[in-house]
Amino acid sequence: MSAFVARYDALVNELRTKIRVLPHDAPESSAIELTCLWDTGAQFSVITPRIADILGLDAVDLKKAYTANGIYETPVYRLDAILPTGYRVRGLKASTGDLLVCDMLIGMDVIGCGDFLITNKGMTEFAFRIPSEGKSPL
Amino acid sequence: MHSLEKLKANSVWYDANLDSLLPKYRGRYVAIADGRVLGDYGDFDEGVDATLAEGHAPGSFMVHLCVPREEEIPRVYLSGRADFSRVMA
Repeated sequence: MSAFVARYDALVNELRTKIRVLPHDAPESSAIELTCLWDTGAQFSVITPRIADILGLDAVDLKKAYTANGIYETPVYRLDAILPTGYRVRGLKASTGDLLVCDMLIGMDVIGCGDFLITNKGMTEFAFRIPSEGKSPL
Repeated sequence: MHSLEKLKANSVWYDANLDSLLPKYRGRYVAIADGRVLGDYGDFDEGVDATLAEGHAPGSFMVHLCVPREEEIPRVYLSGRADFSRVMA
C-alpha cells in the first residue's frame, strides 16, 4: 500500500500536487516532474502536447473526448506516473489537451484505483492511497 | 509524416473500412498502419507491445478497439479543465 497526504495552508478549490511522469516502462531516471491537478470530472488522465513532446511520446490511439463544449478527437499516449509516494502507476492511456493551470490532469483512471479522501476544516487536506483498501475511514 | 498526421491517416482508414473490419475483428484491438491491419489482440497493451516487438516504429501505427460506431465509448470530461479543440485541428 502506498499513501500520501497533501496539506494546503488554506481552503483550496483545486487539488494540485507534484507528480513525475515518464514513458511507459522507461527507467525512472527519465522521469520529469510536473504539476498535476486531481480531477474527478475527468474520466481519463490528460497531458498537454508539450509534455508529450518533452517525453518523446508517440500517440497509440485516437479517441473521442466528450466535453461540455462538444466532442473532439484526442490522441492517446501511453505513459507511467510516479505518485508523490513513489508508487508507479503503469500504462496510463492519457488523452491530450490544453490545460490552463497545470501540465496534467489526474483522472479517474488513477483516482479510481485507490482511496481518495478530502477534508476542509479551516484548511484543505487530501489523502490518496493505492491500491484501494476497500473501506472508508468515515 | 508527423506522428499526429500518421495517427489521423490511420484513423481515417479505420473509419472508412470499419464495415469490412467488423465481421472479422469486432471486439478485438486492431493494430493499423499504412492502410492495413497489422494484427488483432485481446487487449490494448498487448496490441501496442506486440506491434512494437514486430519492429513497427512508434508513432507509425494505432491500436483501436474495433466496434460499431454507435458502440464507441467517448472519454468524458465534465470539469472543463481540458481544451481538446486545438490538438488535432
